[in-house]
Amino acid sequence: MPVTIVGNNTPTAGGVVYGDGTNYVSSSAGTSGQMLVSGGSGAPTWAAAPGASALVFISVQTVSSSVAQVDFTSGFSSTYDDYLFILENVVGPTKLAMRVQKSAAFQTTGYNLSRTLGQAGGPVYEGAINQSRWTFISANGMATTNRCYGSVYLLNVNDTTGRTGCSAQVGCISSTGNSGAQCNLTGEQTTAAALTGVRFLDEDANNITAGTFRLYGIQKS
Amino acid sequence: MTYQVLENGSVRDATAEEVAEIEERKAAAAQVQPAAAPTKEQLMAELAALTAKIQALE
Repeated sequence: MPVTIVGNNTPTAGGVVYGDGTNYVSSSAGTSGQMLVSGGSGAPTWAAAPGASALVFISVQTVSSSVAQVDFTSGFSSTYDDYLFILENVVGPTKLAMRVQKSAAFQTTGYNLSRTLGQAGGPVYEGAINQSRWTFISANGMATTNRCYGSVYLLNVNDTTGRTGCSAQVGCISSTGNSGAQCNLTGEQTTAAALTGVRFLDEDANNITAGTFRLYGIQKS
Repeated sequence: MTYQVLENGSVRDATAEEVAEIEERKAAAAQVQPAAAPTKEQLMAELAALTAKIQALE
């Protein structure tokens, strides 16, 4: 029996041919890694495979020579509402901190925070409003030779009512490995605009001499 | 002073506005640096002064 594809008879690259009850038609190609899901008697569709990661890698920046700050000013869009930064082996800052870009400017006010700091002398809780940045290491600071690791979630970034969320777990370990500090921070940035960029810096303005910063988008569903 | 910025994988010079902000942070950090720990000689001098005050009260 001859098979006729409805349309221009050119099969869709990567598509799957199925019957619609009258003719044979071709599906779209889907996205690499997706699996085909039955639509019953309707058209099948492509969907993420169960267990597939909700994280989508966007970009990475590695510090190979000293810089004052590390900026991400691309990769943010309406595709994702939530993002994740992974920080590895960040060296140089005594008080590693972050700012967000909104309305074409890195904001220097409007950072509210609630954080718990683990540091020499015992843990400390702090809450503050309208700060100039989110700082992830304690007021005591740390040595410029310490290595920082952590994860920073930026949430609700397309909100335009001043409710950009931050949830961060960042810590550092000394060069000898026997001391350090930790920070668990929840915050909001209150400028009423969508987020368009992120800056990592040192509150004390020391250079960042090493480190890797990875940016991931978190799929909406 | 010049500063470098790593932006989207490329290193560039900081803008004048960024330099000003970095210098402002640096100045603020310098103001809150804790005082250096006193030397042994300074502590001995303080002890001597306190000893003299105590003796004056006896």
